[in-house]
Amino acid sequence: MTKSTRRGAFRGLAAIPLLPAVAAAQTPAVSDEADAITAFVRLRYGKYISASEMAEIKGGVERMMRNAEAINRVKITNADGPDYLFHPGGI
Amino acid sequence: MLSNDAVWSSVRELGDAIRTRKVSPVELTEAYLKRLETIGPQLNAVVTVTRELAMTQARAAEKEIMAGKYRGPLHGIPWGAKDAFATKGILTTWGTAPYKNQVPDYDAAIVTSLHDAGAVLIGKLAMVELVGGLGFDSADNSFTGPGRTPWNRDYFTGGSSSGPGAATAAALVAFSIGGETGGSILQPSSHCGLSGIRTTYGRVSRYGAVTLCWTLDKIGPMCRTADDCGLVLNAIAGYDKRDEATTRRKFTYTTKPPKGKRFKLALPRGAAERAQPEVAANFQKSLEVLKSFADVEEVDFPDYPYNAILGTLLRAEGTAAFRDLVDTGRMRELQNHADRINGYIGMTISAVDYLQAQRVRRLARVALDEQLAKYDAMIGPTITAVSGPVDQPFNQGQGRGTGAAPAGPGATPLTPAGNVSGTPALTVPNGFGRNNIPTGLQFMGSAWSESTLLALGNAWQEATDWHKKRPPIS
Repeated sequence: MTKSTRRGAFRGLAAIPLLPAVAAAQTPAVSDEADAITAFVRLRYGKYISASEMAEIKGGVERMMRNAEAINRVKITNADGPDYLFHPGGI
Repeated sequence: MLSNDAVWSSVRELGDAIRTRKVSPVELTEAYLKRLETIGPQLNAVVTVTRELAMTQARAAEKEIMAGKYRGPLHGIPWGAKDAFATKGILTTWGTAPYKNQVPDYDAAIVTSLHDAGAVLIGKLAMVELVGGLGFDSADNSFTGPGRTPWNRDYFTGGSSSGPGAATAAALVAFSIGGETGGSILQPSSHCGLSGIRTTYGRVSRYGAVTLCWTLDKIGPMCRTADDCGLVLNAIAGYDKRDEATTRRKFTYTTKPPKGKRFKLALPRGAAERAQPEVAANFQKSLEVLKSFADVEEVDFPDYPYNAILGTLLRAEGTAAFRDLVDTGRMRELQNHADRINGYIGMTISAVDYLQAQRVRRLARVALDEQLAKYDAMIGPTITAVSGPVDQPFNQGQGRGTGAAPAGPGATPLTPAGNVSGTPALTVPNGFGRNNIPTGLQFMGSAWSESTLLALGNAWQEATDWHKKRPPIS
């Protein structure tokens, strides 16, 4: 993705779910990578999570990975810093 | 003797009546308290009615006004706070079972500001649990029950400021204060037929407000008119050393736009493309009205993955904010199914992915700022679909088969972009959609442009009467 503007940006915007739960019906196929990341959740929190919930978590992990991919498609330079400032001593 | 219609008056009208001693703050508070206590539970709009405090404040207001000490347009006006704001000695539940017995020993900044302005706090209003940040997937998302819009009680208010939306629209309070991270003021304001303003990030102190996302949380008024939003914002805006994000820029509300002002509005191409037909039709009709006092120019929208950025920031910061619930397994106590599991998903977002989102966010914000600077506001439907029934999951109950965007926090295109960039937006009612649910028109402006947005809202409400409609509730 580039910094250019183009017609139809809204179409793409609306198609990308903001929150996993909102678009649960659009759950993508789960990749091996999402499977591996979900294993961490199972290891650390498995005692709190049922098998059916774990399947939903996998789908959510996949969607978070898609979010990261969409973000990483934007071209940035080494100097592009995060959108907050560190203030030693406060403001 | 207070007329039955008084509770439906605007804050400005009530303020004038109180100032001229035509209305007693004590009588007015009694009237609103009665409605809050009787109608409030029917809408699942209330957590705590603060009757004792309210009557004490109302009597004090009346005494001061009778003695000639008038504090301003909010003096003696009954209001409600989303239960996200700390109130000393009063339950502050954040809408959720794990905190349902929490009683702070201090007041949030906005509570103090409104007290200083003479307003009367009559209740703590319901909200989606944990400010909705964990991604609720149905209206069953609060331990107080699903928020019901007074326009059709079988349908959701929207969230997370569900109680402020229902209570203000049903005239259970004169105004309320909500908060927004990804859509929590605009969405319920739209579904409840209110005027609501998401302020610029840093305009209003968040001291004492529950934190969902440090870099996204904003606070704003939810009222029955845009003018009222201005009056209330005047009382709560300003620098606060306890919230380092707050600005030292002054905000002074004036109802008068610059002389001879004709507004210039940007209409993003495709803004209503995915909206429900009724929402799109109302927006088209709105454009004709807007053209009577504004020039409307079609524009391309800066192309960034706003939803992906917002989703990443929200999930990562929200999970960090409530990590204790994740680590202890207390997520199980949450009401909503999706809320119970999404914290675990948040734990998998890497620090690098979070930082990448913050880096791209800056580029997106700058691009949007550049475009917004050329206009008084950008416009679009506030939400592309009206709310769904309270007894069905969102992905089944609304927007289905219509091509509409999924209806949840931030589902409308302008809203995620505005929240990512920290810019203000005002929603005003512009008609009704299916099932008698109101629809909204959004004005989104550049940072610190609240005065312009409110002037636009006033112009809109001089030209229309949607804000004067009353829901089918006595």
